[in-house]
Amino acid sequence: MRLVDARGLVRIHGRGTAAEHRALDCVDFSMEPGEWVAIVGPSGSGKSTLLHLVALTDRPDAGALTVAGQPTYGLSDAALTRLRRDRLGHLHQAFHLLPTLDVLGNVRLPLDLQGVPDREAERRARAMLEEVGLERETHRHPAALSGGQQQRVALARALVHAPALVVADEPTGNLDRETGRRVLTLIRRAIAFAGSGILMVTHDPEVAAAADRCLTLVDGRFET
Amino acid sequence: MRRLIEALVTGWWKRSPWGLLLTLAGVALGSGVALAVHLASRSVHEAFLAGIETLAGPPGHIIRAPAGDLDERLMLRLQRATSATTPLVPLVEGELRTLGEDPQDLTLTGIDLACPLDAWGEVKSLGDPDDLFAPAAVLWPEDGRADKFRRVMAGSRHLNLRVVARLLPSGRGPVQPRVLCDIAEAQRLLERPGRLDRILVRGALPNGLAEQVRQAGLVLEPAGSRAAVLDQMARAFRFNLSALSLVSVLLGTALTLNLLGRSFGARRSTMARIHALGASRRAIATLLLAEGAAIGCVGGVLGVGVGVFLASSTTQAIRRTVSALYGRTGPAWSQLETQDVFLAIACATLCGCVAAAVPAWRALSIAPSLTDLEHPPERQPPPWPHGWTLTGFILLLAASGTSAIAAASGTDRTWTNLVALASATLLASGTAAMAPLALRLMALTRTSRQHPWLLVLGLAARSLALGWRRHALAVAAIILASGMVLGMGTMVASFRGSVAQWAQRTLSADLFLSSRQGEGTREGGTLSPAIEGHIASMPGIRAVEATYEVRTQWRQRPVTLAGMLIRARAERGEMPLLEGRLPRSPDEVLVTEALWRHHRLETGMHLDLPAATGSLGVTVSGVVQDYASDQGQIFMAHEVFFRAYPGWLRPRSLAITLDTGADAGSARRAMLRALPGANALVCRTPGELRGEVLRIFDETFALTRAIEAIGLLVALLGLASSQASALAEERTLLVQFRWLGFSAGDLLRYALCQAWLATVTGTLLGTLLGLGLARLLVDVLNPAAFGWHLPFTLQPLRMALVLLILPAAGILASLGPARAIRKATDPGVVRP
Ligand SMILES: Nc1ncnc2c1ncn2[C@@H]1O[C@H](COP(=O)(O)OP(=O)(O)OP(=O)(O)O)[C@@H](O)[C@H]1O
Ligand SMILES: [Mg+2]
Repeated sequence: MRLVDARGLVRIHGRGTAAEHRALDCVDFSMEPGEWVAIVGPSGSGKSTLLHLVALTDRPDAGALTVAGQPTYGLSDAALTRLRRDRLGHLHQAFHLLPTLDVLGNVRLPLDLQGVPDREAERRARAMLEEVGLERETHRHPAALSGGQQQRVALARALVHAPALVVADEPTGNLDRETGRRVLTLIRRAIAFAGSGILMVTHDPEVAAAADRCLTLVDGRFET
Repeated sequence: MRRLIEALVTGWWKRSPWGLLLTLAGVALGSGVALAVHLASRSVHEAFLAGIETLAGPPGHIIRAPAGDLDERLMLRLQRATSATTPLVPLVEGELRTLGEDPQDLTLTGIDLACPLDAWGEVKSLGDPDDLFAPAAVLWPEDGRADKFRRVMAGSRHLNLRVVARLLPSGRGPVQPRVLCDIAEAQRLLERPGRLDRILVRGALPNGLAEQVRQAGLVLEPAGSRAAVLDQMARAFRFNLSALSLVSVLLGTALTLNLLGRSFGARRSTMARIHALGASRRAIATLLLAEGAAIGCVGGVLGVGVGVFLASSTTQAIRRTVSALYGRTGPAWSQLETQDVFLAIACATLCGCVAAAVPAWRALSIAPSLTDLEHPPERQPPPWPHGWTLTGFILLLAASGTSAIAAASGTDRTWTNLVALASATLLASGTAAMAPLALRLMALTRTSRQHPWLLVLGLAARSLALGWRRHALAVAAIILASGMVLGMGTMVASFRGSVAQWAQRTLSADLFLSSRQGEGTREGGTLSPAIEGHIASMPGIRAVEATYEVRTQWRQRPVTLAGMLIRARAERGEMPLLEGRLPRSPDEVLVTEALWRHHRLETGMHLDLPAATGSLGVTVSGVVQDYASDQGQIFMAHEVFFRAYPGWLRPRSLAITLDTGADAGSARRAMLRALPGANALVCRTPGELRGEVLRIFDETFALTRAIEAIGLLVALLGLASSQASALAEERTLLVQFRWLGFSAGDLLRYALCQAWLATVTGTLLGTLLGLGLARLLVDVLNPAAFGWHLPFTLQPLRMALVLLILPAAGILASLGPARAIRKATDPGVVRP
């Protein structure tokens, strides 16, 4: 079973308006379980657009997409939500932690949403925080953390429920080179720990080089 | 679920506790005012019912002569003609004054002592029950003195009364202390053998009695008809209260709606993130609804406290009014019942749910996203609020349509009230719906960029126009509140103005003399025929004018026929004509406005009035303005009156004009000293009468001030809350301003300018609404429902005050949020 299988994905922004833009143009691509795939490309080439499709937070205008063995065409919002909740982890350039929850609350949120029992969720969240080296910050609020720390919290949140696939959009983009490198090491370790595959957009050639496979997107198409 | 609640609800409110407090305060004030009005108007109702029973005994009917007293043989005839079991209670009354240091006025009431006496009080017998019928035996009101005999004056005669029982006041005890005795003995003591003042009919009306009464030339009417003007005020008061409570509930809902709507906007990205992480939309929407319900419920509980506080102070005001009207203790504080509490909390909860319904509905279509939605880019230029403007326009059209219906709907009060209330609601919501347009229009303003204040003002106007969605509800709340204050204020002022003017015009003699007997009741009292001549012969008196009245039924409605010196009164300006002219020929009469409207009369119309001599044919020559009766009166010259009622020689009242330069006070003292039976007379100066009328008026309407103040407070709370959330949403922009060189003071000024502009817009539209509401109340509702025409009294002072004070208060209300954003320099806020 393939982790991701995309055939002929098309995504057109602002359809029917003067600003209509074909961000993705017939993209074919697939991923194996546990695989690390990097996507590079110039700004505005459609990398984030593709990522949103795979992360199931956006729908393609045409094409077929299978994620974690589940064909997504025609799925209801509720079904997509369940799929995201159970099989996907999200990592973002701007972290996007919930300001209303503390570090522990943020990390265990995916488990709480899955209905994992309280003690079990707490244990797994703490273990994950230990893995990213934040076991001492459990009760601080995201706004009080540094960028690197916030990204590590986001990483713990993305992996705490051992998702089949982590979708990451420039996870090191907001961090300095040194912190970025450390976060990257962590990502690699954590993924090994959770056994997830990862689809990562990056501008950093170093990061791209570390991936199992690197794809280049130009003007909404993969370069061969 | 717990984490979800924390992420979405509790965590959020922990971050903005002021917003939560404001929302709760808004709901609490809104529901509290509604509850208070409910409780207060129940007390009013109870008070007036109690008043009726006080004046006329328990519900039943009264048979009386159209004027003066009646012969007791008529009573026997009625008794014979109907069945023997018919509970007819004859009654005769007279005035007594105790002798001694501290003379006290009492009413001697002669009734059939064999009838149940519980309506008069509790009887505590001092000896043998048969003593009740002994000569000069009376039941004396309990006054703490144990004297067996009391010396009193009746007219100019001294009497020695024997107290055989005590009368303890019961819950519905009489107004004036009353001495009871057997009817035959009372007639002897008062020297009125064979005469009765009225006959009470207890319980249900026997068949055929009405017909018998009519044939005997007597009048049958329900007991306890109150003085019409007071009745009127009570109704106007209740109407005013319900309108005000409606507005405050609307304001409370608007505030909740605003705050929950704003908080939804601010939490959109949190929701999108939670949804992206796997929480279903349904769960999010349910949470929002539950949150609204919880806020409504807690606000409702607080509102019960507010309501109880308001209602108890209201009841005190009503108490004072009632004791002024009826000379008895007013209503006790109306107990708060469990169902009131439940109803208040349920309504507030419902209001919270309604307010949360829109955000919840929108949450059902939120897109999952991890990207930042916190500050969606404003579209440039912002869209025009077509939908709202069109809605407002349609609502305003509907309002003018319904007001036309109300104006044309005649005298069906319930229906007119309903239509007029609907029209007022449409007018208010239509004007409020124009708030987005008014805000959007601000984008067209151009200000100079030279002066720092003007620059900031221009930026603030622009931001209001761009963010009209954010500010519209607060502006709408201000429109409603200021409109209500102006509308109600103008209505009350027009009402008061015309009452004062009417009192001024129609009370231009120097002294007014009437009988104390039956004061305040519709049947009233009459004066002895000799008194007129007696006064006219006194020194220092220039003229005495007697007014004779007959109260009767005409076209199924009560009407008063009054014989007076129309010419003389008109010369003094006491006959303000709305239409037509003064009577010239001896068959012409004037009708009052209420009668004119109720029966749709016209000048020149021929009327057949009931008369002792059969009927009296007259012609309407004009319509006179009058606020004394909403039933209507017909004014005619003395000769016309006596043609119809030759035998009615007891005047209802005398208007006395003194020689020029005479002092009314000393003339009154001299007159009362010289008149026989003066303790049964009331003599008032026009100033006293006017003062009394206006005092009752002011006390009746005092409560509306408190409610107006609360309405304004709720609107200002709304402004502060929407300002706080709008500024929080604009944080990025504010930080950019700081980077561009704005000082902290500039930001403060910017926020204050926003608040000022929003309040000024709201108040200007509110002024228009207020004028519309006042027109509706004064020109449509009053004539249609009450048969009264009120001259529209504009209140420039009040308008100016509202226009000045409200924006100033708006600035004050936004000081809190404005000071909070002054420090918006955190660069983290503008992280991509
Ligand atoms: N919501 C949107 N509406 C309209 N156009 C959009 C939208 N989102 C993206 N686009 C357009 O689609 C194209 C691809 O955008 P995308 O965000 O995928 O680029 P990207 O490769 O991620 O660029 P970057 O490296 O700068 O993040 C861009 O030209 C962008 O303008
Ligand atoms: Mg991108």
